[in-house]
Amino acid sequence: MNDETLVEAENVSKKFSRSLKHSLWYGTLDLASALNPFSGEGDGGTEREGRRPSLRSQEFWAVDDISFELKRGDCLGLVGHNGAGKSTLLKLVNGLITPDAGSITTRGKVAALIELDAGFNPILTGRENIYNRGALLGLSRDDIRSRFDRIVEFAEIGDFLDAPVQNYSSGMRVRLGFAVAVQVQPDVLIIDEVLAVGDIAFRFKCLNAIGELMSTAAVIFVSHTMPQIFRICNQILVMDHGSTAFAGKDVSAGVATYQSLFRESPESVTGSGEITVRSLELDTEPSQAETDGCVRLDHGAPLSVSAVLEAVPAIHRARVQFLFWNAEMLPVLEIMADELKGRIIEFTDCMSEIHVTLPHLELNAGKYSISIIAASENYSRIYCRHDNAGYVQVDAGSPSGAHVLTIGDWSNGKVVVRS
Amino acid sequence: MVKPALEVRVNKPHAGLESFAFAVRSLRDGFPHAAHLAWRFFLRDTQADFRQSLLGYVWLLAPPLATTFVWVFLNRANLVRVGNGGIPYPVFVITGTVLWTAFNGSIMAMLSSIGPARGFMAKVQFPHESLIYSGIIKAALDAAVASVLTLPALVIYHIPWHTTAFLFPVALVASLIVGASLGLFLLPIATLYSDVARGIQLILRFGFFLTPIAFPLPAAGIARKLMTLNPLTPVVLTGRGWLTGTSEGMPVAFIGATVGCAVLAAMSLIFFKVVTPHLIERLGE
Repeated sequence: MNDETLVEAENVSKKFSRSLKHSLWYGTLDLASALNPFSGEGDGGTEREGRRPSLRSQEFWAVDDISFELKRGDCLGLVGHNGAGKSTLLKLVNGLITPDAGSITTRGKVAALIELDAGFNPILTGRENIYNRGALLGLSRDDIRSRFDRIVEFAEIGDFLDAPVQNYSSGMRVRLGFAVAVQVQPDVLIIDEVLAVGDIAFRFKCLNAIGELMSTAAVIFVSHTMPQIFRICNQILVMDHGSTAFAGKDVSAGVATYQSLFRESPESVTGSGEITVRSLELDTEPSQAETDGCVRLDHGAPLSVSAVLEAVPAIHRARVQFLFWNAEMLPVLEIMADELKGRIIEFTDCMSEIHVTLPHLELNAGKYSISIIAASENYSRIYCRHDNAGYVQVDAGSPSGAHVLTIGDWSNGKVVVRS
Repeated sequence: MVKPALEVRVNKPHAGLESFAFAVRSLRDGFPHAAHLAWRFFLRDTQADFRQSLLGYVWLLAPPLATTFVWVFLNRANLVRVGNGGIPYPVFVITGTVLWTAFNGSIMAMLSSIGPARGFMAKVQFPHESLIYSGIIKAALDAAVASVLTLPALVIYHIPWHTTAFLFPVALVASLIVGASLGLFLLPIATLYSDVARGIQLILRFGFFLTPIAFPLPAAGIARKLMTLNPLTPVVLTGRGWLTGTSEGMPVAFIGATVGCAVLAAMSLIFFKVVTPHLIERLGE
């Protein structure tokens, strides 16, 4: 039974409008055209005879010609930056909205783990809300009654069961929502970023519950956390501005594509301005041409950084260091010299050139931006801080969520069993 | 063991008659779930309302009572002089007001059925018509509670009990149907533009005076013409006639208006089902 196709999306497209005013007016036109049983080929309407409709003023393709196929047991990782069209695609799969072109076929019960506390009434108790939420998801009263204890136990709400939901913490609300939602035995399961909330222990509990559902369903999993994608998915679809940037079974190649879409921020220079960066060059071994100031290398490969700095005549010495930021703008690595301080450089004729090499760059997969920091010897004055001066993209096919992956020197000991 | 065949759903652009057939099918097939869900929604909202209120049902009785007192006062003080069609004026007003309350509650329940749910309508798949069913249940309950007011009025003013009074609930249902049909018909456009609901509220203020609630149908003139065009007029006149035993009813027009509005309501429900994806699309996140 494992080869039955449960979701089939064929050239699905959906357009949206940027402006609310236009959106409402087009909505009105669409209502009129949907209600006209003899509606012909309207330029504003949807597909007729395989022809994709044209865009009206202020419209764009939120989902642009997307196709994929999922069988039972498959898990598709749907990734892309905010606004890439993921949520719209999910609504199309869920049947909440109709595509403007193409089609989506689903077989069996479709369930979505989205907005887990949707439909909760804050005044009513957790107990009452379990029944309401269950009804919303299509469970009968008896279904819920027979699973009630399991729901309460999973949600860990304890004494709060008969308290109004408005007194719950946000974590408790999500736990309760999740506990009810996993009682539905879906054939197609949509999971949208639900694991971004709750404490770590509950998150693992959720992942395990999802794992159980997954074995009997086709799953579409949306996350910005690549390790989760690595852990769960056997297919990946990377969306960028509505269209497919990558689709296939090679999850690590898909993740790399996603990471290369990491939007580069403009360079920014702060500090006193007494030192300026003339150039920054990045390279690896074997040597590689930079494209747009970005060098791409595998985990563990060497990285060399060269910079040319210019100072005003009054400055003769400075400390320089390089700081690496990940896509979430967290500092993850800083290249230092002795005593964990910046390297001291001397300026001749106001110019100085500096090289540094890391024999093994141990950062996990991702795209990193580099800042150059030049300060006075005792750090009392920052001469220059140049952000987003260059980029490094690391490829690593690991499901780890750690920032740094290091290979240790392992050995086996002998266990002495005392008799 | 042979597993039951999985339900296949194809989501693609529908056009013309095909989308109507699809809507009718899903309304029919989804009815048990939608009805169950509507009942849950109704219980949920009612329980929540009552838990936040000390007076509960009093708030259902107060508006028709207040309207009646105002008109009785205006009449007594000779500020407005209206005829009463042969029955004590307070009874005349309260029967009209109760039927008006049913109509008004029904139209408003339809127009406000989507609003509170717009947040999760765009996220969770469920039979959306259940919101409408639950609005109808709510309007029916409110109307039933308000109609209790007619009983003390009949007793106080010594109106003899007529067997036709048992038909009064039929008039109440007819008022609900007239209101629901208008509300449902306007619901899709009212969901997009808030102007519609505001406009309706304004029009209903005039509507009150174009319905024989606080004064009888004029014998002639433009007001009479307008009032006879109002589908609620035969409902109010007939309902009042049944309850008080006067022969003021318009049975043919009553049946015509009720059946016509029931057909309009059914069609509007199908329209609503057809356009729901378009509405969700515009509801945003």
